[in-house]
Amino acid sequence: MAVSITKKLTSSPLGGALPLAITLHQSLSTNIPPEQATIVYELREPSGDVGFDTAGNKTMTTTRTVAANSPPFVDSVILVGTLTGAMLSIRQTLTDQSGSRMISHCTINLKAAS
Amino acid sequence: MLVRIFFVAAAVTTLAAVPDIAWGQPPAAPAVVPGQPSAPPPPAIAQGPPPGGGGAGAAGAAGAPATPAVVPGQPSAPPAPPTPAAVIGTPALDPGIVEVPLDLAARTVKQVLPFDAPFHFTGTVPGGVAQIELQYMESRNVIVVTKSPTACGDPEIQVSTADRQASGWQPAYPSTWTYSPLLDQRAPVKFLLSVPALDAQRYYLFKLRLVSTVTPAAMAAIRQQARGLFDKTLDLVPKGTSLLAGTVEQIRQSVIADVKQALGADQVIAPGSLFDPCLDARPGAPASGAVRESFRQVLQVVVDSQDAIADNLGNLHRSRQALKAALDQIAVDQPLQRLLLRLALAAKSDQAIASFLQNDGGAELAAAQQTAAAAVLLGPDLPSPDAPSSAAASLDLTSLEQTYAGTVRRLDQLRVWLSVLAQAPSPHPTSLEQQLTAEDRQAIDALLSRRAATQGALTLAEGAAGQMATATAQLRDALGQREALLDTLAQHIAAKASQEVVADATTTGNADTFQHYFITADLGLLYAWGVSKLVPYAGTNIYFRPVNPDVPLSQKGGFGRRFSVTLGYTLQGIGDNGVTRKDLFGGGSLVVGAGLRLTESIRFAAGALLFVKENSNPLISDEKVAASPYLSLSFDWKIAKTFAVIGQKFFSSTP
Repeated sequence: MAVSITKKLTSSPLGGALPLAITLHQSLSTNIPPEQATIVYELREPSGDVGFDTAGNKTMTTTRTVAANSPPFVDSVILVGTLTGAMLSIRQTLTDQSGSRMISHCTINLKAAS
Repeated sequence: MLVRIFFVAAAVTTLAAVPDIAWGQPPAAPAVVPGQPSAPPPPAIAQGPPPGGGGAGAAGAAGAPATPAVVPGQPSAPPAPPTPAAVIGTPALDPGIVEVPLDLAARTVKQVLPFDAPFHFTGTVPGGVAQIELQYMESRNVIVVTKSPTACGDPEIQVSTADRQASGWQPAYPSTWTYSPLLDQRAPVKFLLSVPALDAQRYYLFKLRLVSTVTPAAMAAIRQQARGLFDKTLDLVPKGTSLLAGTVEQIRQSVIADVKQALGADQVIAPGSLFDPCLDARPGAPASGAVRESFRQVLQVVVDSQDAIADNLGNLHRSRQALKAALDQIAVDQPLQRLLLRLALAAKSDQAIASFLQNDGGAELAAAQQTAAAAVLLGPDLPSPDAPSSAAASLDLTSLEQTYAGTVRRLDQLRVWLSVLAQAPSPHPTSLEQQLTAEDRQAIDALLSRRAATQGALTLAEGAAGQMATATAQLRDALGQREALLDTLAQHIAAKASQEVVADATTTGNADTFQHYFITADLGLLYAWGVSKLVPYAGTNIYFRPVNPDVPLSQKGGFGRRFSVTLGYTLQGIGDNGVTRKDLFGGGSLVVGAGLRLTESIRFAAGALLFVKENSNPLISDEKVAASPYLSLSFDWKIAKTFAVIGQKFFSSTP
């Protein structure tokens, strides 16, 4: 069955002021364990000067080894920049070993610093 | 839903607004005609209390014996028949608080207003109104009212006046009437709003805020319409992008426009609510940031759900293409197709082979190159990921899920069938085994391969079918989340509206507070030194500012409310049969002076008594007007006439 998403991508927290440490959660499974999957996170434009860990860094890549019933995967990252009042969209592209792509996203509510 | 209607009503205060409530007689009427002490009393004296007694009824100074005079300019209740309690000399009933009709429908006060004394505005409550709040402003000059449109929507009431000492809206805490379910539901509901004592000779502008409820049916209609509008508007939110603050606000304004469109003409969005269009006009409002944050949270759910719809539609498209490619790959797999052809030929003469081919429809699945079979596995065409969410919502997801579940199941059956076919050592009948070659088994193994580097076509098909099933389930979740969001937004309107949804309307208008002098009448005794006589007199007192005689001096004093000039006439002659003097004209002499009210009813005055003086020489007929200083003590007409009969009897014996 290749890699499929059993629990959709979510972020925690859902929003806050930059710099903001977030964790991205997602559950995956595969019918041909163990299967390697490549995950690319991308900040959708317009995203100003926001970046992953460093300003202007718009993409973040990681790999996962997916089992038949993998526990939830967690990716932690710090969003940096000065953008406020925006809905920042993070797009995730998951590519499994067969080359099949699955797209997910989550949205971060960027608030003004209090 | 609560609907707030602002309007301003103008009214004026004049002397005429404050008649003699207790007695109902024109204030300046010299009721006693000299020389006619037995003249009938003024009509008002004989008036009794209105039907219903002296309480504050709807007819104005309600309850006072002189009801018709309480509300000048208004149709008055017919005078009540005289009652024993209203005979001469009986103290007047407490007039209660004056009630002034306020026409909310016409948004106007139809009469001049009382001054110096508190009063009530009263009128019929429009349907659905649950609360009315009243504020007013005061000016010595005309108040000009304008409504200026604001950038955020609702017109704003603005007032201007040349009077730099004009008040702002007062009182700070508006006078409020609130509906009570204990009110008699069978009769039109009346409101009663207290107004503090107003000054005379002022312009007044009243601002009333009506808070209304909306019927459940109307609320449901609003909610339904707004939901439909939200559906269309939010579908336009860009997909696949981040949204900067400006775009977020544009989306908020679009949603606000939807709410306005759903509301009636006299309904507006509650300030401080999620849909408040005036946040920018109130940047300092504490709620502004919170409301914007609330909206961003709502929008976040929108973006999440709609992007999830697009994501999963895209995933479905990609998976469907992958499935089709895998099925195509199976269909063109030469070793497999040759094996199936041989088996089909052999099945015509071999029942064992024929039976195996029919097992679980394996042959049919293997013949997936056939268009009909492939279509069953692929399911129907899907809308584009760029299509509106409504297109995805129109999908029969249940049918799709059943289709993709069936695809997964049939591909699994195919895997089992092929696995059995390629199994070694063979469990098959000899005839079937004879049809299989090593090349066949190798081809089947390749199709079934789950090794990462060499995934077989069937494995790829299974993966794609599984992804389609997953994407369909997530699409259902996203659509459900979006539907729930629309419901939540609509309910949010309802909840807010049932507390405080605002409508705005104004009427402008004000009228001059005309200046009049207030005139009262009294009866008293004066002593003139020049004639050495104590005589009764009737006088009129002319004030230099309007005075409400029903307001005690202890509550509102001041020189202007005490001082007046007096013009009177003696009720008895002061002549001495022409020896030294005679009355000025008729049977009495003229009284000219000035006085101060000591209490509400007693006045002390001084002045001159004018009479005709005879020449001391009786042979000379020489008459001239002479004056004698006097001091007097008089009683207000209301009190004095109580003693009128006694006084007349007392003085009638005096020459």
